[in-house]
Amino acid sequence: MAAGSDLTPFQMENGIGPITEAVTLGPVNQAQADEGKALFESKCSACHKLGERYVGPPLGGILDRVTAAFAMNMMLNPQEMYTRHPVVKELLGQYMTQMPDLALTQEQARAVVEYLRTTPPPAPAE
Amino acid sequence: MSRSLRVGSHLMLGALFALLPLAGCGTGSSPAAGSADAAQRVYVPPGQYDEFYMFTSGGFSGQLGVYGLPSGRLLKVLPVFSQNPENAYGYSEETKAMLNTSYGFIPWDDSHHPELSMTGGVPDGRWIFINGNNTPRIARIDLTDFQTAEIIEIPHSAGNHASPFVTENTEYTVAATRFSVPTPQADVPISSYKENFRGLLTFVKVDSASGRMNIAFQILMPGFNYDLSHSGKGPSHEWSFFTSYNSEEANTLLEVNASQADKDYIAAVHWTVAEQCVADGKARKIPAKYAHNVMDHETHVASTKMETSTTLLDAKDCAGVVYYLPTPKSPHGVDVDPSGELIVAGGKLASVIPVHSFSKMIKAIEDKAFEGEVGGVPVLKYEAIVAGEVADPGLGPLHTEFDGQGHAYTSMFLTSEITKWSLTDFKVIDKVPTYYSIGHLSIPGGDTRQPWGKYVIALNKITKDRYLPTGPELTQSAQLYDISGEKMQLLLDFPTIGEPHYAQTIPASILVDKQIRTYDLAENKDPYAALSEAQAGVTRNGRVVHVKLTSIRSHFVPDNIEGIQVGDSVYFHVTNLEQDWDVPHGFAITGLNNSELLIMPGETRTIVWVPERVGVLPFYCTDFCSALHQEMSGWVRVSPRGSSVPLWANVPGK
Repeated sequence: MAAGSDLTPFQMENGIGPITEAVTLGPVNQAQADEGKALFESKCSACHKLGERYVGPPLGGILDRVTAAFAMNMMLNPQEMYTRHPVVKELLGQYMTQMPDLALTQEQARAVVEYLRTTPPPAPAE
Repeated sequence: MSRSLRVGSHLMLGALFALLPLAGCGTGSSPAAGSADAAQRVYVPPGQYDEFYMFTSGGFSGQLGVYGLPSGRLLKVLPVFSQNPENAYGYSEETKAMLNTSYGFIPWDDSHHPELSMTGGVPDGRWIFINGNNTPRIARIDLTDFQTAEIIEIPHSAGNHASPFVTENTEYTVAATRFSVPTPQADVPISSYKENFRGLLTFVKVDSASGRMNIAFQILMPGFNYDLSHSGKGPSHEWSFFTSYNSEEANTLLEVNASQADKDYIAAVHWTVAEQCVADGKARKIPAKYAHNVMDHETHVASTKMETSTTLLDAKDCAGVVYYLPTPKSPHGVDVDPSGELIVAGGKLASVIPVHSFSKMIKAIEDKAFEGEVGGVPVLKYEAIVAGEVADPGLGPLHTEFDGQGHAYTSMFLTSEITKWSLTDFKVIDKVPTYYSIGHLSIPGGDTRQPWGKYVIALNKITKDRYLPTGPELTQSAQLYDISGEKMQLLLDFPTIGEPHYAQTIPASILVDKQIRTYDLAENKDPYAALSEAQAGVTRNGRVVHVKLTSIRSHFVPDNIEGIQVGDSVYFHVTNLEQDWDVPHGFAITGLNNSELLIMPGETRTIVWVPERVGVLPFYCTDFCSALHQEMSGWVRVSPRGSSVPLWANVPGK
């Protein structure tokens, strides 16, 4: 358990929310990724770009930096993530704006994860 | 004063402590809301919900108030018949049509009687109806999103007061003329009242699935003033009752001339007989012009259909459709007890409360116990139908509601009190003062088959010395009384919006789970919606410019717009991309000769702006939405007419 936190090691790594088990990622499911891309464009792109900071952090290659379960809990349970998860609290301090609850289903959140797996990480800062 | 200080010593009453001494000093003779015990019974701790929703008519505000009980906290002012610049109701392109009438756009009405939809004589929490009294209309409000969904105008009518009371399964909502007029309208001398003026009782069919209203038929009646109504239940299910006054048919100084007769009438309408007469061809279609305004469920855009005819059934052409019940004197309210057997009239100039028996009425009809007829309508003998009279109830009885425990509660306007009496022996059980001049009263479910009881709410016209003074115009008020015991006990009073006439109260548990939290963006069918930032943009068509904007915490897209010219009609179509509860965004721009917009999550709303001077003008979000709300803004560049500045907006990816 992290110092000063009431979170379990699982929650530290995978976030707090409806996803309570690690999500295993197999080969990319292209149909699911396509659905995720459409969702990303309608629901996420108002605040997130892939390659640069916008309202929120850049999300290209995000699955190299957080677990799939963490990404899904962030999409599905942002309010509690902002209040309880130290990493997300720190992000709030950086970005000063909370991610809204987009009323996604678990299946939709999983599809967005599948799409984000296929995106390249942002170019390193100069 | 010392009494108030004792109240204040109770630990939980910090907030009330400051108020009670003033109330005590101001009123002098009237008791303060009583005791720490009373305060505890209306105290809803911070963060907890009230047990009931109470819907109060806004009266001359034209709106509908929504309060929590027992706390008396105002939750919402729901716009119905009046424009509301706070959220653009009646100003936005999507909602303007809701206020269309055959007289044109009307920004106001006088709303009187909220009426919850019922199934089996019990409120089902689907819709609430309310009447527009001045330009006769009925509105239906959807209780899943607390929005006005439909308004239908009632043609040939005037003073739509006995409305919109519903039948037991919301088969119909009704309307009536409180002011008889030439029917159909005509240019005739006012002194020809008795010859030319008639009353109309209108039955509006309510579709059981959609709630959609359509006028089924209008019953032509003698030219009295049809004042209030309630429908039957149980054994009296097929009947609706309307009080009338001015059976004298006076056309001037009604306060004297319409108060001559010892008895006026309750019109008992057998609406299934009316249906049969219409089916049998005894009615006729007559030309009419009336607006029917519907908010489309999918596009969230209101439209008006101007209807062209109604079905008129002359009461004298349909045997058995209406009987008059003689009732002392100038009766106001008519209320049917939970069993459906007793019909209570508030004879406002009578010294007793007359109570009619439905079963005796049926027997009198079978026995032809008539004392005569008026305008082709049989008048039953009073002695043959009356179940009893409540003696010495007070003065000026107006309205009665029921607690489901065998008791009735009648408001007494002249003596400012509520009188509780027994439905068994019609004896008075208790009286409590109200402050002051009570009109309607309301018990949760008090006009239904199964009242929830617990409280009675007095709706008062006059408050005089009850609150801090606010110049010549003082607030109206509601007062909450506990009726769980033998004696009524005043717990609380609180100010109300506009003038509350009637109110209806429903357990919160019936409505809370039905509440829509957001509109599904994917289902947004507004023709000008931008469902993502990529769909935002500007287009020009002559002098008309359409700006499709999106809003999400905490920015608009686009937020730089150029190429607008002085005198353009600029349509700002703002789509709120949020899908999160309680995150509306607002929109306003300097010099907007119109209201602001308030856009719910997933919704699109449009406001029109005609810029009249050159410059760069800011627009911004008016509803504090996030830590970066102050940053949620943009600019519109307005150039002279004929300028060569190209139309442009910054949309990412475009």
